[in-house]
Amino acid sequence: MSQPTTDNTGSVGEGARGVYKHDSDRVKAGSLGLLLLLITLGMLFGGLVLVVLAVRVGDEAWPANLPHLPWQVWVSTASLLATSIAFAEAVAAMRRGSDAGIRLALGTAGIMVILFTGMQGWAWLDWYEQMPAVEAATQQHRVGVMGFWVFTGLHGMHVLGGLIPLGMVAWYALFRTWTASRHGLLRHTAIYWHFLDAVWVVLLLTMLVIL
Amino acid sequence: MTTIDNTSLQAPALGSDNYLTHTRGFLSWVLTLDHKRIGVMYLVSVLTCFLLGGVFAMLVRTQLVVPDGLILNQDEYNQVFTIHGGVMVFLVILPGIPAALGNFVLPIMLGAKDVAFPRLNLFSYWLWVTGAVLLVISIFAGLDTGWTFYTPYSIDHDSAMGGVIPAVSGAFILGFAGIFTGMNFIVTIHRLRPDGMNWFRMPLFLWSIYATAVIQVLATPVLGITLALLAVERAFGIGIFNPALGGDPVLYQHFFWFYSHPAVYIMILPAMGVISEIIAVHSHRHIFGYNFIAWSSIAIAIFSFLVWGHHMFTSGQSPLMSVIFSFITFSVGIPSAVKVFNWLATMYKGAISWNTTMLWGMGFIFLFMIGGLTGMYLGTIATDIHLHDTYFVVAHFHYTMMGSALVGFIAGLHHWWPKITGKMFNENAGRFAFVLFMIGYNMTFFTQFMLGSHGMPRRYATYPADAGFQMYNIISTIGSYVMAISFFMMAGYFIASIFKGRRAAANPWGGRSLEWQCSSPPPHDNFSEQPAVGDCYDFSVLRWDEATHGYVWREDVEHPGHDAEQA
Repeated sequence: MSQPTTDNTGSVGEGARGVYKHDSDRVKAGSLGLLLLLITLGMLFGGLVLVVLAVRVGDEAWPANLPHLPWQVWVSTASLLATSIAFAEAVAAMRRGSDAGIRLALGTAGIMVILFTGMQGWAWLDWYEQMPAVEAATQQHRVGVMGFWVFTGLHGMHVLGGLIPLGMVAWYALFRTWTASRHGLLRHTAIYWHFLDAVWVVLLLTMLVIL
Repeated sequence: MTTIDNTSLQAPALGSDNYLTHTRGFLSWVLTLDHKRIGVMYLVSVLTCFLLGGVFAMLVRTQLVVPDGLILNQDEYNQVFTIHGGVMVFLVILPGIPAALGNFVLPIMLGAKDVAFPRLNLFSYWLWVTGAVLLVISIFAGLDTGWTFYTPYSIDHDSAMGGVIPAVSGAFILGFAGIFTGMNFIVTIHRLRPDGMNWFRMPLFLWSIYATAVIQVLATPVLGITLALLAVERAFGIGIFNPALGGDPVLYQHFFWFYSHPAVYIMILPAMGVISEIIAVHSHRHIFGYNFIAWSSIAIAIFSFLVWGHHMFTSGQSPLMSVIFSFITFSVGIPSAVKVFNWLATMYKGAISWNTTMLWGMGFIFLFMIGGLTGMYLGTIATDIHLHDTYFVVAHFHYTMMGSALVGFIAGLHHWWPKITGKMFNENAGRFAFVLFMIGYNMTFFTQFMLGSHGMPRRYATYPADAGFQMYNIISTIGSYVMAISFFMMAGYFIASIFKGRRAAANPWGGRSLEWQCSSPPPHDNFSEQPAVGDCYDFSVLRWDEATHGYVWREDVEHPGHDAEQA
């Protein structure tokens, strides 16, 4: 993947001055940057889970009659897992050098993400309908009910953020010639979506605990 | 690797191409990807915020000169100290050294052309500006919770007058601007070190910025989620921090301080890095105990995550936890003292230049020692119970945050001013302003130790006339005005230097790190040729050159680039 230098400063990369000597250096820097971003987000979601669990554990009179999670959540969980598998397949196709495989896998990932987003939206509507009844009963344990909005909302924002690289990589795969310079983007996008998947599983387990 | 000759160590010709003149126009600045211009934009923004925070500080001090309060009512006083704290912490001290000075010098010191992600760097800056605007507009909404946004004040719609949501949104966004800057620095240091620049050849400033960036990346998101939850709690009532809804307000304190104590080290570590540079360069002596100073930065970064409970000795947390937090708090003194002793050992038998920059460097050591040692009093549970929430605490954290972190920033500003602007400031004016500052500073804050130990609580708009507090308050207020005069003097000689200052040599102080190997101001690309990396604290190879008013390479000493070529 290493490419010769391309601009008049003897380097390639971001900006006019060319920060990197080789394209592979840029990808390596991107990988480290992504790792740091995921650590940051891990701390963010970890803090959220910890603070909610602290409230739950500190309350010995936790009610047993809180509502169950909307059924749509289970479909969205399955579709997010499928997204992750599709990304893994896209990376495998990239390693095989199969452009058609990349297109198929990314197309599947896109459809699964749309399904996930739709199901989460439906789950929100469902949960909203239950709100008045449960709110009245759980004034002293509101995080049990409101936690659902916070967890799905915060995760949803990161899913929306993930649509940008997914859209970019899908655009390149479906409407442009796939070149080696896109490999880094695909790999990084796949890692981000695996991360979103893992975070969702943790959030789901936490919601099951508090409900 | 190629060598650099002495011509590159001298001042550039008039009208030569540098980062200031490379392109022109408003857009060439606001959309720049050049780390130096982004650093300068941060610098201007931070100094503007410093003026704003300073005005509110003067209002606080003016209010307290008489027992019944001179100019503000109770609510206004609460708002004024909140804005003073919020602006100074989030908009001045936190970004001062890492974002402003760090952005400017880090890539050059490292020998890189820019940071690893220049576009992200520009994005961080504008994110920072957005957060700053949100924080500042909360002034007009009447934010009065204190800069810590403690619950239940911040979720009580009756007592907090407003502005909580814009303020915490601003702090949240500022946090992410800091995270992106930290990520950028970590990746830059890992991935853009040139040949020959291994970890233990890096200037100590880079070690401290690296340690800072690690804290930023790990701790700031916890503040982010805490503030986001606070905003949602206030807006919708989610029952996490509000006890009426089953939440726990002390939980907020735990999460807030899990970030905000490490944030204290985000403030002080870069300042320590600046001081390590200044003490060595202006003593013209090899830094003593390089490895100890480098590793002590990492040790401080690690300890910083384990001491947050010392802010909460009176919150009702378990006594065992308090004892553990107290013990670990004392441990932070070890790496801090390691640094101080190494700086003193560096100065010992050095050829100290008594210039303004070095005076600020030595001022840092003096003030930091007072701030650090009084921290031991507060880390001791028994004395903390007495001193908690008194002016003793106010004095202590001003000695560390202002007397150390901000003084480190000012010292760094003097150190790199010739590099940033290409102009020298007036030394005599600089020395005078420093002396004025030290008098004013210690008048202002040393008296507050007395006030605190006599029992004057912090955050009170008035105090009893017969409690014996007034004289201390008068001295403190006079000191604050003296300090304000010194800051205006500083602004005066810095601005004057831009228009009338002598042109700065490439290496006016005699530094060896790579930023002194490029011209002042640096060229757009930082280095026209890959610079030769050597021991950045071996000053014996430089000599003073009267013609250029700067240091140049000694003719009788071979440049390290030659060795590399021969190898």
